Amino acid sequence: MVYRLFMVLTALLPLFAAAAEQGQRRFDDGRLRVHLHPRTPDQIAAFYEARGFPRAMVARLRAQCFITTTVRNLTDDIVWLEPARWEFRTADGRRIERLDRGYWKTQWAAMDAPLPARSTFRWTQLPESLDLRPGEGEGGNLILPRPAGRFSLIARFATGAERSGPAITVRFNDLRCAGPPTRSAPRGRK
Amino acid sequence: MFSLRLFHVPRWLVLCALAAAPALAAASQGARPAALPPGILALDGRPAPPLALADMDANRFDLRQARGHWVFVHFWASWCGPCRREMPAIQRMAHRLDDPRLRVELVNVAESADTVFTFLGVTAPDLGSLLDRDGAVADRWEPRGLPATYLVDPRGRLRFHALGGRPWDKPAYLDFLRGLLGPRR
Repeated sequence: MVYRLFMVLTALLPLFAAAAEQGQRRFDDGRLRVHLHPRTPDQIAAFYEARGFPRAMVARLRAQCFITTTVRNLTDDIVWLEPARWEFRTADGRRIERLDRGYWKTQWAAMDAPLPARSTFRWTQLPESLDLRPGEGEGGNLILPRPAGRFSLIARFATGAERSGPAITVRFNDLRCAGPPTRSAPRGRK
Repeated sequence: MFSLRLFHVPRWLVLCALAAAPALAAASQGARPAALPPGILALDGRPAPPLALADMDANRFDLRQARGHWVFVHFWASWCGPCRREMPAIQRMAHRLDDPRLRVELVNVAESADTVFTFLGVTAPDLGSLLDRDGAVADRWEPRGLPATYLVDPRGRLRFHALGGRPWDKPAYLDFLRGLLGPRR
């Protein structure tokens, strides 16, 4: 009887966890801690302007939806941080394609952006693939084309050195980009 | 195919050499620590990527010329929160060890000399930094993130990597570094 009760409670745990995520931007199930912090266009512009980014780069960046994301592995095994396995979807189910490092590399090359700015930009993005070691955390920005309304994220994490462990799936609902896109002229250098 | 028989090496000599190899390696690199402090990963000893940069005063450093020393290579940027918290601990570590067999080389990633000067003046005024002005050196080293620290052995090989910011001035980390250096002669 006790065993059956234990099994029922164990089966219900994911439901409790999922309910706790409604409209929230934090997840912690004892295995993984994930925080999402949407940034306003002005915050993004201020950050990159202060690092000497050219005006054209700042203008391109402030038009997007930035979500500063931190992930910490709380397990004793490897957890794979691979944003390519994450799904962003609008409320009506359409997929939102993340603007990944490859996209920006092409953009900056076409713009002939300064190399220091390209380097700093890369370091401020979430890695495309990282085997998070036990206790290790990592942070950086995820960038989306700004969707009209709310959206969801299903983030999938493989575990184990060979990715053969039990996967961890985290769902965030009712996400929104921070602040409206602003039309004020960026103050960065030419 | 390689064969020991080709060189006519007596088997007893091979066995003695194999038995003595760890001791010889330890003698050449300092004693290996018994246990690694949290967040320190042992690496496979591949040659360190090139690192030849100038600091804010145009003094050049080339990793190839640091053979015979352990080198603490630390990649950082002023906008990185953990870097800001870690830098004073690195300065205290350097003071507490005060050992010429360990070189502490900071590498700022893609920021201006003014930014570096202002940042270090506040957080760790006794430390200087090399300037990786376009981020190309950091790209070659491929750190997992910023901050990132590597320990390069006296033969120029990557031996350890620290994950994120570490309290380098705490006893576990100081003892770890002292263990690498071995006893002072």
